[in-house]
Order: sequence, then C-alpha cells, then structure tokens
Amino acid sequence: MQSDNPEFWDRARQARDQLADQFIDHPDVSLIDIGYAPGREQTEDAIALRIHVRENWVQADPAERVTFPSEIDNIPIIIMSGDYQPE
Amino acid sequence: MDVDPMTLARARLALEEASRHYLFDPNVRVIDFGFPEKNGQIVEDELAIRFHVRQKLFDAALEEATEAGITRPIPASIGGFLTDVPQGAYRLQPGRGVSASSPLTGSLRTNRVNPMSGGISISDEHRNVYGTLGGLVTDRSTGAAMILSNWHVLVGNWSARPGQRIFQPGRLDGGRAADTIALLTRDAMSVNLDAAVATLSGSRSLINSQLNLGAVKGVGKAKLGMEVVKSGRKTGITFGRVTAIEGIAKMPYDGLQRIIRGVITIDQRQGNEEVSAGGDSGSWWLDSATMQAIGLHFAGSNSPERGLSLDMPQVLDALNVNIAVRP
Repeated sequence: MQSDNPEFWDRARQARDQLADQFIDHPDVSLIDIGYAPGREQTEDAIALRIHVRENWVQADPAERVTFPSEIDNIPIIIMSGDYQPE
Repeated sequence: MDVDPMTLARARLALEEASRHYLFDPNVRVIDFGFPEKNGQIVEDELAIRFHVRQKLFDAALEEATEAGITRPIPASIGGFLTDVPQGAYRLQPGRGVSASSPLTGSLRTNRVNPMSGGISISDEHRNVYGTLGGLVTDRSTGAAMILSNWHVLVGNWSARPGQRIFQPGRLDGGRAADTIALLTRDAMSVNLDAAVATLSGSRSLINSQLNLGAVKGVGKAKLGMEVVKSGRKTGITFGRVTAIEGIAKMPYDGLQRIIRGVITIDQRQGNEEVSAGGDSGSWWLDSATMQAIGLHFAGSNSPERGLSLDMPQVLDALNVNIAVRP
C-alpha cells in the first residue's frame, strides 16, 4: 500500500518540494501537502499531491490564472480550495 | 410542507454523500435540502438536494472548467433526490469577540484557574487576544516546566523578546499582569514552525491534562486516516480526521508571509462537524485511539471546515522539550 511504502513517500516528498519551489510563493497558493484526494474513497491508493488555492484563484478568469501540472513522477496533483488563517 | 421522518432520513444520507463528493469543489459553497428554484421561482411542493455554487457554469464554460480540474458537473439526482444548483457566494459575517461568559466555551476555559490544564485561554501580555494553552512540556536540558503553544499565541510580534509575560486567561478574556503564569522562553519560527514555549513562573501549577479529555499519553506520529480529538479555548472538544500530512503552508504573521512546514491537515469526520475556530490555536491534537499528541493546531478555515496543525515530534525536537506524561 502506498501509505506503508517508503519509496512512495520519498518520491512524494521530492515531488512536494518541487511543487513548493515552484508555487508556494504564488499569492494564490496557501498550502501544498500529500494526502487523500477529496471526493474519492479515502484509501491508501488514493493519495495525491494537493495544492490548496485561495478564493482569488477560484474566482479568476481561467485564462489568466496560474496553471498547475496534473502529476509529477506519476503522483497525481489535485487542486482544492483552501484559504487558511492562523487561529 | 411537512417532511416525514423517512424522507428526512433519506435526505440526510443523500446530503452526506453529496458533501463527501462535492464539498471540496472550489465552486460549491453550500449543500442543503430544500425547495428547488425553477424559472426564478421557489417551488414549494418539491424537495431537492441543493448545491449552492459561486458561479453557475453551462455548456462550454462548464466543460472547460471540468477539463481544467476546477469543478465538475453536478449530477441530476443523488440519493434518490433531484438536485438543484442555485448560485450563492456567501461570506462570513464577523461579529464581536466571544465574551468570557459565552455558553459555548464554559467558564473553565475562559476564567483564571488553578491548577491549569491544556485547552484554556492564554495570551501574551501585550495583545488583546486569546489563544489556547496547549499543554505541559519539560525542557530537555534543564527539566524546567513549560507551556507549549504557538508563536502567534505566545509571541505574536516580531519585536517581542524572551521574558515577555504570558497571562492566563488571555487578555481578551480579562487577563492582566496579576494573571502572569509564564515567561516567553524560545520559539521555532527560524525552522519554519509556528511554535513556542514559555517557562512557568511558579505562580500556579500546570498539570498534564487536557480539559474534558484527560491526560496526554506521550507523543505520536500523524498518519493518514487517523481520527483525532482536541480541547481548545474556542470550540472546546472537537474531532477530526487526518487527511494529509507533510504539508508546506504560507501564512501571514505580523505583516510578513512565512513558510510553515510539517503541516498536518485535519478534516471533518462527517459533514456539519466543527473542527476548529479562531482562538483554538495552540491546542494539541491527540490520536483518539491512544491519546498521544500528534499535532499542534495553528490555523484553519471555515469554508471548507478544516484545521491545520504542526507535526508534534518535529515541534518538540525544534524546541528541545518533551511532553510531560506524569501528572
């Protein structure tokens, strides 16, 4: 299973770091993590890289907003809504 | 219209299914059960599962948005109910701060208490705010008893210095200089963790207990799917489920955007559950099965309802402290 596979997690961390290097400083990106793909059954086989985007990105014209890759190293990337503040 | 209990029960199941599959969609704001709208009129003799969206998309625009992974079409029916897609961009409506006598929080969280436990109100001496006293830790080098909470709860300001006084309750809950319980000692922002510790002054005791939860049984590592529980100043006891780990976030702190690492994402176990709110920062998320501390809560959102915490083993190592498991 992916969640018990150290090789998968090494790849996932490298992919996460690659995404962070490229996108974490973008004003529309709030968080990049590794976890379940929402809307799918939450099993170890449904782990993805997740880019959390702010309201601005959701509201923006698709032609004008930053685009993200769909996968890195065969690990799917999903975009999800997330505008977080310290609590 | 009176809705019979069987229909309501079926609707709740349909709502849960809809929430599970569609609430994450950035274009979906609310999912509820009610009267559909047809040709601009509310139809009061029908019932539907309603997906309130920020923007109604049709045809090519919907296709394009779906292909881009931004949203996807709402099904015509779900759980045996027809669906409706009204447009609605809702906003939070902030009110005044919660008073110390709020029935939602209870006086044990907001009042001056002795002995203290995790889950109660604290703040630094300068800002009119409150956060959560996470719990009791000990300095690995000196054995000194300390409070572990967030940087933005115990420090909060880039000009703050060690020795800054910590009040219990926090200033917004009425705490003043006479309520000093600890002095700021060090923080972990330099290694991208929103965490800090303050050394107890000895004026009051702090026990290894989370208010209404009991003792913390050590430290653990968050895993995907783990069910967790916390005790916090604002929302009290809440539950969640770990849906992601190893996150890297970007958050605003006193005017500066900072990168925060080791982020654990905690979602609702089911729809309608509250996970966290402002004032819960500093709470410790515990593995529900073992009562080991796995995360230090620091941020969240209401839409979607989600909490963010920091990997507790990393926090403890960065601050050179251990969780005190003895009372």
